[in-house]
Amino acid sequence: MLFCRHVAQRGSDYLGRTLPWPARLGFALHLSMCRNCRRFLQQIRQTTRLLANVPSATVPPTLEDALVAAFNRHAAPSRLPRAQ
Amino acid sequence: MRPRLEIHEANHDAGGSEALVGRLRAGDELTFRNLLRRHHSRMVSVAMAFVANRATAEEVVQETWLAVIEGLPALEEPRALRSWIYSILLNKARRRGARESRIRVFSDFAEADDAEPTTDPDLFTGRGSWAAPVAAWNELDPERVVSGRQLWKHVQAVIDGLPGRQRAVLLLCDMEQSSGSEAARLLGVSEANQRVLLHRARLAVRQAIDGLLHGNGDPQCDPPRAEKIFSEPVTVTIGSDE
Repeated sequence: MLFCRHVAQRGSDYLGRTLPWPARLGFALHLSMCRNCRRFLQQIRQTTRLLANVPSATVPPTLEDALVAAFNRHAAPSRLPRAQ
Repeated sequence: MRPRLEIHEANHDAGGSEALVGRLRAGDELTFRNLLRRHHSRMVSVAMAFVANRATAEEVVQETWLAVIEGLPALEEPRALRSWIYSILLNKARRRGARESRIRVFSDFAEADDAEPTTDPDLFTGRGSWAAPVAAWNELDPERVVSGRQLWKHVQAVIDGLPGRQRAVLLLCDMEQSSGSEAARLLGVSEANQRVLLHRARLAVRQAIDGLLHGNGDPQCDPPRAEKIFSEPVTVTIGSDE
């Protein structure tokens, strides 16, 4: 029998569709009857959506400029106009 | 004058990567800046799982970018740009970590992780049901969250505090949008272990958000009202250049 503890332990597997189908069926049945587990999985989903939008930290400006300079040096030949 | 960072819609499909690589090969500086800004800090966080400290991780990432710049013309699969960048990063990080004679390497954590329970047993009764109701996150509208600096800082602090292995998997899967199998391959762990690490990391972040919304008894974390969380607008990079 599937308990809430099992849903919490394998929640990401259920959301990621990596559970075998009998287990998925068990989860779906449990979720149809358990509001707490539905909320919990919804919160895992929301967490992953939030994580996808966490802003990247700033790159130190001097480092960014140095790497861009390296990029530009390497890219210079590709920017040369074609010979007529 | 530093160019403004362009905001692109989320585009993780391979076609986006091919166009991106085309622009990079054509010497498009702004595209390179965007790529750098998009991935740099996360690459440092991932590298820190393999090396002794942040300074070393930053060196490894710089070396990675230089290798990326040099290797772009010969990249055989433009569709796999992000995976290629992280492959370079992780190879360099592992070699640096080995040179520094770190006793703990990423793979050493696998068995320990498997032995630990995924969830806190105190959350459940002896029968396995929730010991307390799961409180709803009614305030957590994703669009409002985008403008919540306090939430971002809190979440970032939790991510930074995760064990290195969990942080690396979380960054790759939920922030860089790698597949589980790709993340497992890049990190040199089994897919089963990758799933366990990812779930534990997600639970830690979920718990932190729950604490922020509902309070967890921590005097530094009184139950904040939703309008307080979302009171400070912040510029957000949404999606990817890829």
